[in-house]
Amino acid sequence: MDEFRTLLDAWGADAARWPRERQADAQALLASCEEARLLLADEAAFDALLAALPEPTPGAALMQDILAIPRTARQDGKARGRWFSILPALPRFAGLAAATLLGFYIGTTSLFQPAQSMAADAETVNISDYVFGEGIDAGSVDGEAAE
Amino acid sequence: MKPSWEMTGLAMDSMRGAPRAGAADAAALNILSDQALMQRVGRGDEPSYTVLVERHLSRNLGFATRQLGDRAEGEEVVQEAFLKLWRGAANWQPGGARFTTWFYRVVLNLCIDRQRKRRGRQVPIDDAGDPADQRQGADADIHDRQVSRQIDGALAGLPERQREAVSLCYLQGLSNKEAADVLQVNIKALESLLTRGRAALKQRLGHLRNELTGVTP
Repeated sequence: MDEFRTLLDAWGADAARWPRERQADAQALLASCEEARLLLADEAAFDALLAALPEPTPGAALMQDILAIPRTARQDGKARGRWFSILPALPRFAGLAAATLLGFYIGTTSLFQPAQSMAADAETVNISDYVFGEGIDAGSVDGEAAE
Repeated sequence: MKPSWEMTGLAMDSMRGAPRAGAADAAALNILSDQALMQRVGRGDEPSYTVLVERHLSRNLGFATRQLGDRAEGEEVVQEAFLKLWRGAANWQPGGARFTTWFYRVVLNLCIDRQRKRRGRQVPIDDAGDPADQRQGADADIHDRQVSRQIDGALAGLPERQREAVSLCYLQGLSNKEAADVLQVNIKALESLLTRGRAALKQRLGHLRNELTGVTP
């Protein structure tokens, strides 16, 4: 009887769940013992109580979201695919970017160079003004005018 | 004798290796086994995926909700599980675990991840797993809902492993071997989990049991 009680405590009243090696003894006890039958009925009521617990009904929104997974996954895959597709061209892009930067640098430094030389020329002119006196050109112009 | 699904044109297509995605109608797909559907999903067949969702969503939502004691988290878990199904179907091995066992295992692992993240936060029995929104519709009897609520509360109060074992065997209807496979334990360990879980439930639901069976304590 204790063995039968142990069997019911674990597996419940459904004989299909009972381990095969213990089924014959259990069935023999049930056939001969009223107390065993009462125990079984009690366990069956408990099993029914658990089995009657309703399954939740999935809402329409959840169903929609889950059914949309293939489309969403495909779109993600395409987006990732587009990103990965530029990977082989990355060295070329890097070369182009480096060339652009270098060109910009050279271009920038060249722009400063003429500006500096212009400033130097302007200074030279000013110096020449000092050396040859003011109004040399103007003087000639003046001279011409005088003539 | 071969199962009927193996004799259908769909199954023959499937064995030849390249059915066009979405070519079969839902009625024809409904007779296919889960394993056959998974093979088709692995080739990107959306209608087969839809049939699997219709077959397994409700049960797995119930299982996840009861493990986590929270409907919203249960819904997130089943969404993640179906995403894994879609992405992993191409590597599905028909000779391996049964689909049901494999998918319950996916759902259970996602539940365990979440339980680990919130470890330390005990769910009080009275607050756990409100099943009120699980039972929708005008015909939902108040008494039945109260009974369900108490059973869900008692389940939520069980230690995780016992709750998993009880849910899989008594609520989800898995065989002993399937439940043991999902839990990755042997039958002896499953028996121990069930004995302790069942005893705790009986203790917590004793009044309910007497009320329903008409037994006076």
